[in-house]
Amino acid sequence: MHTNDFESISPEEKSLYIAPHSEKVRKNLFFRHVGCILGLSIFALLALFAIVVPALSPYRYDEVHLALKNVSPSSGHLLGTDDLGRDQLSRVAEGLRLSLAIGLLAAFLDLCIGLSWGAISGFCGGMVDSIMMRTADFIYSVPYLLSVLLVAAIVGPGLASILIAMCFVGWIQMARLVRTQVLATRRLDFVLAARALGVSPMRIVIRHILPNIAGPTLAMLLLTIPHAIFTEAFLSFLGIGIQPPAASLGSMTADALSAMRYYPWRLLAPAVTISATILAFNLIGDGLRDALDPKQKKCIESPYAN
Amino acid sequence: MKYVLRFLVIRTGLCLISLFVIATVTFLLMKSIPGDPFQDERGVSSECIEQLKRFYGLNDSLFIQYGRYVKSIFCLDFGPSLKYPAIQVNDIIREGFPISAALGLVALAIALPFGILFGLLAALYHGRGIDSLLRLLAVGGVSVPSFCMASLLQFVFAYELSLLPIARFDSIAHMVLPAVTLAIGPIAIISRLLRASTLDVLGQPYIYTARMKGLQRRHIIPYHVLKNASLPVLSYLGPVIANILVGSFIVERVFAIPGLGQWFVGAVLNRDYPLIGGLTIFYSIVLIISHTIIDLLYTLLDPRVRIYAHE
Repeated sequence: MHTNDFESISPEEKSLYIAPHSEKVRKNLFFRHVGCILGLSIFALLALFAIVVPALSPYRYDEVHLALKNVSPSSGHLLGTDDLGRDQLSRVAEGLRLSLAIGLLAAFLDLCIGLSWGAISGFCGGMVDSIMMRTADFIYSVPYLLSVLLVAAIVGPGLASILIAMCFVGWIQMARLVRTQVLATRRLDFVLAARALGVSPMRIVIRHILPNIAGPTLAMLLLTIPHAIFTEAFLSFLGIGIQPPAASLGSMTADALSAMRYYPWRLLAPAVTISATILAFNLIGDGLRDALDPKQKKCIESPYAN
Repeated sequence: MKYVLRFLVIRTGLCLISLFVIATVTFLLMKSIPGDPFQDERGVSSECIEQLKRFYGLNDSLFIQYGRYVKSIFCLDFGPSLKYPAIQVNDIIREGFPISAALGLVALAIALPFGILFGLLAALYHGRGIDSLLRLLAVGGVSVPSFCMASLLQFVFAYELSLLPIARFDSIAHMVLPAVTLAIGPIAIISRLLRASTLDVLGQPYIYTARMKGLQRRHIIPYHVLKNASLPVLSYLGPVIANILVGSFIVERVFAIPGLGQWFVGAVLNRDYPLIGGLTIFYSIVLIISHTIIDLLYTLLDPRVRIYAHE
């Protein structure tokens, strides 16, 4: 019968196994948690906003009312309207939906390419590794903004173009991380054991190596989401991302900026929403990295704290 | 000294190779953009456009164009911009870079002291309220996109409070808002990096030794702690210095600053091939120089890192 060793020992013994955390360290862990919880709650609120508003709002995000241009916030339009009389609240919600979708999609694509590239490169080693990683270095050497702009210009405007432009460079960080992790893992005994048993290389990578490097990869994955959201907003701010009439928080900020003197309320909502979205993912990603990446987890007491 | 020379020679060779790679990838990418630089000109006949293309050699085979491109890089002379034929690409760089660099230096002068101060404070008061507050602020600092930060600062300080000029680049007061916008991201990242590395250093045996010897706190923190903890910050600064000096497109656009950063996006959208090439090569040279300086500084701060270890 399976018994839980930890439950069977006495409290006195237990205290030997658990490092005595001072009040200070415990507080710090608590604040770390608070960051993560804060991030999750902001994310939940934003998600709720993105789901509920388009469902309940009487206006569509691209519904033009030229008679109601630049209306200030009122009970009819909670966040006012823009220069074509479109309801600002619906547009912010629509832009937020787009940001979330782009963030998740881009992270997924980065993961797919980066994981397979890094895993193959790290596992094969030798010539294959050199060629694959030098190719990645070549692409990575061009300044980020420039390569994103160039690729976006090559593919043409639109959602797909933004995704392709971001993933053109985005996967490389992921591939590098996965490669280092695979290199560190593939010499370990359990991989050797699997090889001795005649497990195929493909299966070794998928069943034995990948589960062992899931932690840092997941943390990295979560931190690529805010980056992707930022890049989309940035490209749309420049006018080469999402094209009208689709709503993007970046292009809404750009539109509001030119009319800031007269209609300042149009600036605040998209700027705050995009910042809150990125903040939420950064907080969650940071919390996860603290929890999942053991190298980052340090409880060093500062000798000067008292 | 011999080692330093040798390091510089090897380093220059590596730099030339990476410049070549960057130039080639950029060339391939920019030539893959559909359309040509003259397609947006209005009221110009197709014969005329054909003539222009022949004049600038855009009808030649890619190999010949690539040869000309490489030659222009070696001579550091990129010729006239295709969109603004009256201006030489070199002049654009010569006029724009000092402005962007001045702004960037001010931003760095803001970012470094504040970043170091916040990082040290957070680490020394590890686990206290101030640490949590600074950590939260740091996450916030990297989360607000530069265009939001620029717009909001402009709105609050220039428009609502009328404390500072709203845009353009005429006096010291004009530099405050753009420099602060540029500095916020680096402040957040420097303080995070420094916090982590300071915590690392504080746990090292030599700090206990120093304390046991009875050294004062005001001696230990700058000489024992900060010197060792600043290494990760230094390696982060390499690319950041280059980015900040060459200028940020967003900040220069929002604050209407006639720097170098504002040209990047237009160059790509107009398919202004010489301008794209010139800007890329210039940026890469600045990047490589700042990386090299950082590497040399690294060896000064950490004798264990020897530059001749590259052999």
